[in-house]
Amino acid sequence: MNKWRNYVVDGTEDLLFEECTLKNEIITKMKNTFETYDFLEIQTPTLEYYDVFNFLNKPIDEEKIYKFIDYKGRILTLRPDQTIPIARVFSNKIKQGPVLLSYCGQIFRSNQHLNGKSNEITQCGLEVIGAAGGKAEVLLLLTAIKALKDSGVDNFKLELGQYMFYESIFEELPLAQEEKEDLKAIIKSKNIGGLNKFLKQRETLFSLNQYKLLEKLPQLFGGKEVIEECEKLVYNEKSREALQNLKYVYESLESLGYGDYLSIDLALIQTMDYYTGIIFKGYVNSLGEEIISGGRYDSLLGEFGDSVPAAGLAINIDQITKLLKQNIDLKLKYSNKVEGIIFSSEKLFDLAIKLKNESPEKINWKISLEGTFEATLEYCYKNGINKAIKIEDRNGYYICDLNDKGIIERRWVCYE
Amino acid sequence: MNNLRIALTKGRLEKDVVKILKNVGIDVSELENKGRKLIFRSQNYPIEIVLAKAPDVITYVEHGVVDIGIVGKDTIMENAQDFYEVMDLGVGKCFFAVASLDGYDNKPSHYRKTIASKYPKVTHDYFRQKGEDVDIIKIEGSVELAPILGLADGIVDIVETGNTLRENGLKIYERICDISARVIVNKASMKLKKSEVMNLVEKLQSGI
Repeated sequence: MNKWRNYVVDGTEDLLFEECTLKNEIITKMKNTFETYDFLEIQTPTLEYYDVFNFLNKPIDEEKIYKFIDYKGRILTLRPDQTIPIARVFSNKIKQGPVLLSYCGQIFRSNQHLNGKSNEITQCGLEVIGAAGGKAEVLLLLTAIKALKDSGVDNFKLELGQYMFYESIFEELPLAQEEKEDLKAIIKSKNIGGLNKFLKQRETLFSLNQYKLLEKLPQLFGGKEVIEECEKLVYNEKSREALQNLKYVYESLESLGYGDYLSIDLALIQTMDYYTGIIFKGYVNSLGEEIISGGRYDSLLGEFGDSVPAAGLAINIDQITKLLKQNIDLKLKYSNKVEGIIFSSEKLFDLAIKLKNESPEKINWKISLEGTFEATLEYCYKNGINKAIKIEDRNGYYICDLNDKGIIERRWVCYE
Repeated sequence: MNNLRIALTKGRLEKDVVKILKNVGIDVSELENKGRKLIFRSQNYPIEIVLAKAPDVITYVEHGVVDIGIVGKDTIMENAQDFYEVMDLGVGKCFFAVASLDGYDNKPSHYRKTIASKYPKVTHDYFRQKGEDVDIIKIEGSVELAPILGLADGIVDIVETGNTLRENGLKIYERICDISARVIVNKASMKLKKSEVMNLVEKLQSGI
């Protein structure tokens, strides 16, 4: 049974040479930035019990989780997320906050067949556990913005939303639960026509304040002016507090010079009640997908142990690699340009290695693994390499200058 | 300022939308005289239009290679939803229905029906919401044939005038929901090109 032997699994890919180097470079730069801001790295296993991800208000579509059975009949998963396992670790091992954690690893999601999405994604991310309030959120976003810039990404937008802003409004609406869900879906979809129709049909149910705010909600996105507009429309205390939180985070980052990277969307509505406060989503102009996602999730830790505030975000490294690949000539950037090849017999191989390290004529030499000098010369002709060394014996070697037809000149060099 | 790129569903929807665009004064001459072109630019408004089959409109919008798509709600209901659905254009009106030959509703209550449809997801969601367990067979076109050939007990399909059904001896048993053409927008495009998108949406709103 070897039908699939030569294929990669749908939604995965092999990464070769320069692309691989680029991706690793991005990860290294991100990790350096994380360390600068005092985040400590942790690594959790790729395999986790299904129970870890199976709670109410979980942020991941159950059907997308790769599941399998272990020898005891327990359900295991390939982790679809790294924040939730870190919550597990904090509750059971770290226990005491506040703590700043970073991570980098693969997650797995079984996406719909043939929709162009990856089933294996590399994510770097940050968690701040044990600190409520805006300072943690500013630190998270600041570190993420810096990490993106340090990796070479500059044309991105970080969008800020606030769960409590819209949830406090919805809580008070005199509508049945199902109607609330419908209204949320309409606003989430930015379906302005549909919203007007919905509101008009129920005009008498809403106060003027509620009506005015709901009507405007799908369009409350953009720059800082959105906060100002919203301050005029907001009418309940919890929403006002949520707006203040958003304003604080925005203005703090703006004062640090990052205003251009920010935008706001007060109708950033999620289907699950996973985020409990600020929500972040980051986009790049040329990609259709998110590169960052996160927020505050104060209810998460309580699923594992004591309730502790937490906030964090994850950065999609694969998307960033894809983005940067478009802008650089990878072959040029990473070419370890080989300028000469050294050949020796098996007996004299130690001399070949010593010689490579000495870089004769101050150029970059590669060691030949071919069986004969003739085969080595063939390789040089084919790859446009114009110098070759033949290690003759323990007295010395020949350096040959080549063109694409043959040896032009041959010089003898003695070992000292 | 970059042009907004719009993917338009080929066929009848294309014609209806061209009418609306003309109504609001947007030049569509390149669309009306296609030649061999695949991308059509408006001469007086910063948009580019490409034509595609309905499910492909959604694919292009989701991947962000076009900013806006115009596609029927039936296709949206059948495919995944990772975009903003900002407007109902009010054209291409029809509805989803369960239809069949006589005798469809004369089956015993425990009988497990077989339903043929071009929209298996819509069919599945509808019957699931009714609490009914059905077998679904996907058929690509001329779905009315399925009950006539005895492949299925009934069909779920879009109905406009009902003429096709009547001519084939089928009748409507259940009306599922109304369908019309919608304007969808890629999420990143909405955020990054807010004013261009909203301007176009407002313009379209004024033309219907």
